[in-house]
Amino acid sequence: MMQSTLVASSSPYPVVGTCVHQPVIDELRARLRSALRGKDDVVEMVLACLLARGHLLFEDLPGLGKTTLAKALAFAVGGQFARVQCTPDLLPGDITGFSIYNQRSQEFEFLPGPVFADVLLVDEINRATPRTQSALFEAMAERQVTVDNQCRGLSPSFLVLATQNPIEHHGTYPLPEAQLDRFAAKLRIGYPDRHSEIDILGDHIGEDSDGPRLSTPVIDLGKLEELRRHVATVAVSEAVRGYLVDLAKVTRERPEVTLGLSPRGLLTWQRVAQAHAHLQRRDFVTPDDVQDVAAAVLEVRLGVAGDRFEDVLKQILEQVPIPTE
Amino acid sequence: MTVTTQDSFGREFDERPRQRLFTALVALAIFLAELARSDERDSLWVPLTGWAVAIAIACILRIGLRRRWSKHHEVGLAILTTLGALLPLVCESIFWAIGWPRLPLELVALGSLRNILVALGIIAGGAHPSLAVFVSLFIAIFALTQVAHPLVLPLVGVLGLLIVTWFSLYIRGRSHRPALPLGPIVVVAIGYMLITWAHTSLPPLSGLALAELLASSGGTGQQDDQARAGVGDGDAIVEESERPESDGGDGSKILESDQPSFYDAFTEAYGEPLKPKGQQRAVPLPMELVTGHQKARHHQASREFSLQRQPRRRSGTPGNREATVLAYVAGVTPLHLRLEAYTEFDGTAWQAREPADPVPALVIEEEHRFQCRRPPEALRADMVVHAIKIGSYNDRVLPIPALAAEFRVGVVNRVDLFHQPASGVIQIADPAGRISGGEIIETNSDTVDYSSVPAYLEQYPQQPSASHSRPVGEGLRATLRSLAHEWCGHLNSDWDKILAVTQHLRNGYVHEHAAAASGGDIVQFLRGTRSGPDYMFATTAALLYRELGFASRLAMGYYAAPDNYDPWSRTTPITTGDVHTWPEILIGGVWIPMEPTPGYELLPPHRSWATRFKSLLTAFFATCADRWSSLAPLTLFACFVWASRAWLLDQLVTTIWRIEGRIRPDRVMGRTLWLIDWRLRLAGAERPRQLSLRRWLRHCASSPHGGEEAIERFLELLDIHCYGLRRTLHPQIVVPVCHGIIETLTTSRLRYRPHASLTRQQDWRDLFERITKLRRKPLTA
Repeated sequence: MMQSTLVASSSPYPVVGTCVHQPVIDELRARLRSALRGKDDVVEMVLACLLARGHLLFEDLPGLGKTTLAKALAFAVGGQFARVQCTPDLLPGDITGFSIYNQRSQEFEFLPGPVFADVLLVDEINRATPRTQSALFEAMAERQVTVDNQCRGLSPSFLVLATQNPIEHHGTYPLPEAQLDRFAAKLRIGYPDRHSEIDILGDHIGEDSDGPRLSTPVIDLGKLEELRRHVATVAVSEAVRGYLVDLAKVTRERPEVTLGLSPRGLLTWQRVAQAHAHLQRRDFVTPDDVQDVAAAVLEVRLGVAGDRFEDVLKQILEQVPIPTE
Repeated sequence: MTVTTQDSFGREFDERPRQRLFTALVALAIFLAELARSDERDSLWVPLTGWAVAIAIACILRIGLRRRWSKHHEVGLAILTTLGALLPLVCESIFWAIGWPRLPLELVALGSLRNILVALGIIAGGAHPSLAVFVSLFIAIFALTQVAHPLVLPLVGVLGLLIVTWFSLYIRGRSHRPALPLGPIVVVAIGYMLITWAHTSLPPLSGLALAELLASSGGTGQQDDQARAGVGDGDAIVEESERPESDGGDGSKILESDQPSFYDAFTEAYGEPLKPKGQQRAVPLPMELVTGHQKARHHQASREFSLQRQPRRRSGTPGNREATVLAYVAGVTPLHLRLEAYTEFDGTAWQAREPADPVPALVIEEEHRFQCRRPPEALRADMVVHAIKIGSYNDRVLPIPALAAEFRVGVVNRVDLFHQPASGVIQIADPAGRISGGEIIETNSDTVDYSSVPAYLEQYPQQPSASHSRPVGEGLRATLRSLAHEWCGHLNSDWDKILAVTQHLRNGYVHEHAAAASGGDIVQFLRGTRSGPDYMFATTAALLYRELGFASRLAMGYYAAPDNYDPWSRTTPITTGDVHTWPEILIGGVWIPMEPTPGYELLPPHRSWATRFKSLLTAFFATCADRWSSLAPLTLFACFVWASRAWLLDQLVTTIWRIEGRIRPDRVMGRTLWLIDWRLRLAGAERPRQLSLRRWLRHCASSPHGGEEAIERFLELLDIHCYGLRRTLHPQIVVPVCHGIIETLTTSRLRYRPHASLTRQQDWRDLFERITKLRRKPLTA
């Protein structure tokens, strides 16, 4: 149940509230920042997608911390974590699970795949064949899988963190638009700055491996669900909703855009903007929230070539004025 | 529905004003085309009806084609435009085949252009607007050069303004420029003034170079029924010789007709000249006794006949009224055209007399211009230019302005061709010579600044001339003396006395245009009837002027009345009804006309714009020199106001904001937002509509002066006011914050200071890229 989530701040102008879950969010933020140094903006988007029930796709060069961030997030949330390293010979059953004949019980017994975990890390997803990639359609959209004509539900907190390498093309299969639309956002991490790299080097002095340092979860699945329900109640005024719709309309009219924003994509954009507003300690969404998450939300679903996306995004945002009333 | 477009600067602007401007522009151009296609003699309803029909058809086609239009827009537009352009040509061909009257070729082409404009501008809903504006401009030029309707000039001016404003919005949509470009507007204004000047001052339209560039159906030298206002087209030449716009330079026919001369016109106006008793009949001499080359043909020698001219027999059919026009005057009116001058008055009538003082001979200057005697320089204002085209006037005397300084008659360059029977009266020396119909007399005339006459007379007092002060009868003399004393006795200045006499006659007497002059009694006119023809006014005034010590005479001629101005030909026709008589005073050796007759005016002193500007500057500096002690503080104050105009304006608007805030505290947040946006515009840092105020203020209001806390408080409240659904902002919280932000965000603080190496546009782009900071270009191996 929702509780009184906003309390008066110390400001003499009692207009800005503080969420009771703020300490948890701050701790989660600190954990992710310690795992990925110098990338606070990426961490904010990861948190926003987590609170918006959105799946994440990381795309960047090898060694920039995609997997590290995904594993840190999975361990911080708690729950069951599973990882799939995609290869061209990976089969759908390797993800969803399969039934095997138990000679003792004389029956077929279902062996659940990694998709039944709470957090699923799909590493180098574009190395899997389209057949295998499509095995994730139902899981990502409806949080269930159908195996042997039997529908099996997934964890309510099911979260997919996928990574892909953009520069290797041999033996890779580009993700279909239908699957891309199921991701909430696509994030790029990029190289850290000099100061952050010095910190990274210092953190790893004395450690015997390069892998992520595991630690206790920050938030359990129950609290995460409660937090997500609360984020879903962040107010979106009619002006901001109109702003979102106008932006979506522009994406459908521009000739450079292969695939205009779908209503499902629009809903995702609103949810991520709500989460972003909540992370900014507000209980309402402003157009700035919409603009802040626009790049991550739209890149994964507009079908614009990577080198042209930046210009197209700017033109889209410039075309719709900010509502002020 | 809001129609917005994005400019290259990234700002959104409303498309509707440009569309409305474009629609108005196209509608006006279509009306101009209809006006140009209609006959000048038609009522205004004719082009209005054509315009309404064209608009209605276009609207119906637009509604009917709307659904199909979206699929094959360009193809449909091409077909429609081609059909519209061909339609007048096809109709013309059909008319030619069935023998109906046809239109001149340029009007057919104009119809095609109009149809193209209708297709582009209305049916296609503004497709290819630049082309439509270009067509509109061509139609405007055509109308300006080919149509003499008085509405054309103002309509073209309005169209020019519409085009400039539309173009400014068009430019705004393409690059970052001010919404109202002053430069083009000034250029258009200057161009419009030049066109207006050319339209009113230069020779008629057919002589304009612009018109020569346009297609015309005239000038082929062949008979063509479809020729429109052509010159030199077969039979049309005869008609055009009667029209002022037909130039005689291309060999137009000299009009030889039996139209009345000035003598006949004068006779018709004032009746037969008084003949002494016993001399009203004469006896012709036998032919063998007549010598010389002027032999009158007669067949009844020694038989008495009357000297009274028989009135002309009127034919049963009405005559051509245009043929009664004697001449056309192009130039400033009112204008007195002097033809005769009389200096001797015997108490009953005026007599011409050889001038006692020799009339100075004409001097010929360059370009066949004959110089006449001019008024003293102290009396002169600027010169005016006239062109007098001879129509049916047929006499020896040249109808030139009373104060003509120089004149030219074609290429005549011999002084001995002219003779001056009196000062200021030019006539052809040959008694049988006549000024030709169609001939154009070009004159430059002085205008007299009558306000400078008193000073001149004070410097050069008048010396009464005995030849012009011949005594009249005692009764009349006593009356004149009595009246002069009665009207001017209390005045000291000679010129004031002249003016008093003139004004008494103008104000206290009634002009009867139809009254006969001969036989009138001046005393009866002055004391009794107080009404009479202009002859009586002129005679009385001339005699009274003489009584006051001025040399005066009576002049006769024509009066070009401003009321008769014909806007179509931009000339003032002279008819036999314009015969006029006026007195003249000799000042500085030149006869200067006066006007005592009510209803007639003298040509006012002409001042060119340069002279007026010079006078204005002189007066201004003189005033400044006289009142420098009071003007200096005023100038300083004006400089202060100009330098502080932004601050003053800001204070005014802020005061209004404070008053509004007290009256409606619930609206203070919205009004504060408006005021900050207004200050941003005033400071040259207008907020792009795609950026929130929060981001824009953080970008351009950073300052070392502090106040960030006030800005943040206001922005928090603003976000809640605009987007926060669950909170109600109480005025006691909002109002202090709003006052704080208004005191913090002064115009000087908001003054836009982009990075030194970046333009404003680049700076804004840089900010926007930082908003989309999550985006990084993919790295390549």
